[in-house]
Amino acid sequence: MLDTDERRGRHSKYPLLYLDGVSIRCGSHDDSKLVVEDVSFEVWAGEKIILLGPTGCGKSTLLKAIAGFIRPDGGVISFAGREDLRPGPDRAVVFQDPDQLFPWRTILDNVAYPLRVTGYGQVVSEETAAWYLEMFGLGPAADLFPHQLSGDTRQRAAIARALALDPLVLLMDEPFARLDPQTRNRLHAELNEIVLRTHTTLIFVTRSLQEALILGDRVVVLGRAPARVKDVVEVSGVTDPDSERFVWSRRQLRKILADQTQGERTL
Amino acid sequence: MNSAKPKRDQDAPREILPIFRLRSARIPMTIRYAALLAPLLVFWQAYVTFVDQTLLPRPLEVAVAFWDGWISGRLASATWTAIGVLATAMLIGTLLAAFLAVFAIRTRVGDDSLSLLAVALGPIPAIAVLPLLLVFFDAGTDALILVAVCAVVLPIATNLRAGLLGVNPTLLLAGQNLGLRGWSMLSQVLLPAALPHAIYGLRIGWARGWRTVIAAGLVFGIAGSGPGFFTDDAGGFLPVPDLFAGLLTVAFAGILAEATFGLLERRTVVRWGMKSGP
Repeated sequence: MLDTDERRGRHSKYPLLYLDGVSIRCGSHDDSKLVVEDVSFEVWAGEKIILLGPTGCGKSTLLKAIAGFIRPDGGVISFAGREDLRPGPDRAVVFQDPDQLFPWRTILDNVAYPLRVTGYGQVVSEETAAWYLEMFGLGPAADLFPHQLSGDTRQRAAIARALALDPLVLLMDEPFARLDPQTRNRLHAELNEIVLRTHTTLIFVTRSLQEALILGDRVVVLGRAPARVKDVVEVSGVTDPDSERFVWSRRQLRKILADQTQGERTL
Repeated sequence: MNSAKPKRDQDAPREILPIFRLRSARIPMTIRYAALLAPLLVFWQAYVTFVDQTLLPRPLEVAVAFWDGWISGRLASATWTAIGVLATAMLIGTLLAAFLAVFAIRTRVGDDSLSLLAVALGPIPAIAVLPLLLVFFDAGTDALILVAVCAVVLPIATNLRAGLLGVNPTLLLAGQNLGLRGWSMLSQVLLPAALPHAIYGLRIGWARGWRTVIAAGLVFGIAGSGPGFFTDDAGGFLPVPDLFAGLLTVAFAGILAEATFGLLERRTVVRWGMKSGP
C-alpha cells in the first residue's frame, strides 16, 4: 500500500495514469464508428481530473477504457506502470445508473461484499463497510435493501462501495446526472470533503460546467464526437459559484466548448 | 459530515397505487377463497338433493372418500410418490436447463440449440413422449421421472435464458469492476439477477411437470405402479367418490406448490424489490 504522500503524488516522478493517442471504435467491424480519437492526457496521483464534453461525445467510452471494460483500438493507456488493463478494483467505478448496487444485498453487504471478494475477511469487511457508510451518513440504511432507498441515497452507497475498496483512482461516470440540483449540490460538497480527506485520485465524467468547476483540479475539455481533447484547463481551488474566478473559468470553458475547430493542444 | 437520513423512495414500485384497487385485500386469503368455494358447495349439494342423484356423488360422500383415502394411506402414498418423482425430475431438469441456458447465452450454437428445442418440442405435450419411453424403459419410476424431465426442462431453460439476457448491463460492469469472471460472475451476479425469471420458470416447470406426472400416473396407476390417485381396487369398477377424492388431492397439491413458490418469491425477489409484490 502506498503511503499518503505517495498517493497524493507529491513525490512521484511519473503520472499515475497516462493516455497516449488513444482512439476507440464502437460497433461491429463492418459498421464501426470512431468515438474517441487521438486522446492524450495524464493524471497525477491525488489529482481530480474532469472529463468534460457534450452528450454522446465518447467521454463515457473513454472512462470505460480506463476502467478496462473495453480495449482501445489505438494508442496506449498506462495505469500504475501497466498497459494491459483488465477491469479491477484498483480503478473502482461509480456509474450513472442508481441500479448499480446488487438488489439482493443489503446496503452494508453491498459495501462489504466487494471487500470480501478482494480478499478481506468477513469481520474486517463488515467493519470497514460500516465505517464508510457512517462517513456518508448511511448508518441507518445499513440493513435496508437498495430498492427501499431514494436515488441519491443509492448513489451515495455506490460511492461508499467504491471508496471502501481504497482504489488508486476513483472513476465516476456522471453519478449525479439523474439527481435534482439541490441534492446534487449537497453531494458535490460531500464528495469534495471525502476526497480531500481520503486523498483519492478522481476522474470524473460530466457534461456540466458547474460540476466540472466545483469538483475538478483540471478539466480535460472534449469536443463533439469523435472525442478529441480541445483543451486542458486548470481550475484548482475554484469551488465557490459566486466568486469572480468561478464565473471567469466557466466563461472560458464555455468558450472552449463552443469553439467548433478541433483544438490540437494537448498536455 | 452531512447527516442526511436515508429516505424511503417514493417512486419504488411497491408504492405505486394499483390501477385496479383490490378492496378486499385486507381480508385473509383463506377466507376469501372459502367465500368463493362455499356457494359452489351449496349449489352442488342442492343439485344432488333436488335434481339428480345418479350422476354426481354427494359432497359428503366425496369428503368421506377423501378422508378414507388419507387414513388408509392410499392418497398419502400416491401424493408422496408423485411429489418424489417430480422433485427428482425438477432437480435433473433444473441442472439440465441451467446448462442449456448458460450455453445459450455464451455461444451461438447454444442459442440456436435452445431456440430449436423450444420451437420443435414446445408443441409436444411431454405425456406424448411416454409411449416412446416405454419402448426403452419398463413402466416404472425411471420412465415417470424421464417423462417429467421432458415436461420441466424447456420452461425452466427458456425463462432462465430470458432472465440472464435481461440482466442490467450496469450490474455486469459493477461485477467486472470487482474482478469477477466466469463462475464467480455467474453465481454472484448473473444468476441472482436472473432470479425473478428463474423462479417463474420453476413455477411453470413445476405446473407442467405435475400435470404430466398425474397423467402418466393415470396410465401406470391402472397398471399398478406410479402414484395411485385413481387406482382401481375394485377391478374394473372405479368408485366415483374416490375419483373426486383423487382429483381433490391433486388440486390441493397444486395449490400447496403455488403457495410454496409464492413464499419463496416473497422471501427473495419481492423482498429485494426485483419483482413487485402481490
